[in-house]
Amino acid sequence: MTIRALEKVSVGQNGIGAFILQCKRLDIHYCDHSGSSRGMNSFIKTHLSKFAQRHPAIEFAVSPRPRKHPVMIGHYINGRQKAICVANMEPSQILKKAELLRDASGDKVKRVNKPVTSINESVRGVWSPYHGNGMAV
Amino acid sequence: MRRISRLSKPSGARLASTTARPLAPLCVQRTAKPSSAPAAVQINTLRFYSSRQPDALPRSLGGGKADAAPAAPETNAVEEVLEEERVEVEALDLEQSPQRVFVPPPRPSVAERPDEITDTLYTPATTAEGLDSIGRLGNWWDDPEHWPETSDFVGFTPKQKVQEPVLLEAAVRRALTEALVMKQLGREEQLTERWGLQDKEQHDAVLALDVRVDSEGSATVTGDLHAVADELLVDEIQTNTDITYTLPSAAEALAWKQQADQTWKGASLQDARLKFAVIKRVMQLTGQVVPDQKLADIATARGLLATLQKPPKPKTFSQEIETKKQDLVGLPNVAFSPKRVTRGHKDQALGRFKLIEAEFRKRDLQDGPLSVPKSREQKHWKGEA
Repeated sequence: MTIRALEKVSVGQNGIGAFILQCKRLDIHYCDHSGSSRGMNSFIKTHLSKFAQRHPAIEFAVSPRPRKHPVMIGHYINGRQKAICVANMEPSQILKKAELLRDASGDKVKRVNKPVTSINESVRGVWSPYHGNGMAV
Repeated sequence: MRRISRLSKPSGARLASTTARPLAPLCVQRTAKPSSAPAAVQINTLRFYSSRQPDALPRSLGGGKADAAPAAPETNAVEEVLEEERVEVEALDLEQSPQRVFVPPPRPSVAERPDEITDTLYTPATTAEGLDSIGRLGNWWDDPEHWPETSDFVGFTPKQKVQEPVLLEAAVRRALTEALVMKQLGREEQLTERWGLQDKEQHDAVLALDVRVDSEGSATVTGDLHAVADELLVDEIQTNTDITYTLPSAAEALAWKQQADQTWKGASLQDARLKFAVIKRVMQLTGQVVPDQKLADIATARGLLATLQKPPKPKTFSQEIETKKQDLVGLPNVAFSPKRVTRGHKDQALGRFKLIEAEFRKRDLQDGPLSVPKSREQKHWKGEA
């Protein structure tokens, strides 16, 4: 019996294609009668079908919430949730909010002061006077 | 009182043949012989002088011993005349007629004014003890003998609207054919009259007539036109026949539609009298009322059919999504719920619900499943069935 190499099951593309969408579920709540849900109801009728088709990785749960403002709640794979009230908004505005929830990572919103963020403080490390060859004065 | 609400709507076309007295039509609308004027007058008096008086009526309504009290000579004369009329009314034998009228309460008696009392022995009462009760009708209208079901108001349109498209199509075809028959026979004056509701044989006979429509939309009917027209003008109220009318079943209407020629839908309704007759007849047969703002747009039978067959508007947005947005509801990654999703639903979806029930069962805290409605649960706790 000859030895066979393991079959290749994936192609490394330097990270491309390994992306996992952080948003796993989107709850969409509306009210049948309230005026603040008019835009949301229109969004469900006109935009949601295409939006859901474009994002098969996200589970969409549409259900009424009587006598309450319309809300979209994003659930993320880090276990956190992000809710946006879309009362009295136009369908196009609600679509933007849905895209915002889709693109969010689920982390808390933090202030970003630096153009580059990294989990390492510095690639070179911290300078120490006790290391290295020293310098003759 | 429950009985009073039945009189909310005034009688429409049916009142046209009755007298113009203010309250009389309510009494005489279903009498046996409304066509004879003297009988109608006599029936009016029945409202105040019924022969059937309850035992426990207040004295003000003629109960007790009020009749034995002395009255003025003029009153006696009036009452004698009214008594004669009452006997005549009873002679009409209304009780045995198939359509009975309601029995109004007796006329209230009015006490003499204290300053007009001639009896010298009269002394005004100072306490209520020993005095007769006065006022009110009691539960007069709750007695089914006084307000029988047969005296209920019957409107021009049926109570239940017909929504089935095939039945609507059959009704429009029937109405159009009947109106064309009347027009062709030169009975245009009778286009606006109330037509009778015939049995199923007549319905089939009308639909069997051949309607030819030319390129300009003018329609002609061929067949036994006189028989249809004569049947139409037979009014069940006048002849006192049974007016129960049943539409054909949807299957029968569908069978008729499949073998019928569809060119009749192009028949023109530009003639205002014809259009009125057709719409009125459709209204009578199906209960469908065409809104005023759509009347002007209806030019053909097809247009009328399109107006009537329009599906009813969904009551809620959820119903609309369920029925009309199948492209959204059918997506694999979309879960649509027409009702509010509660914590219990989420537990069930995750499978946590069974675990909760099992833990309850271990501790003898819950006999039945948690999923029973709250009301049933409460009944169970109270020991009710």
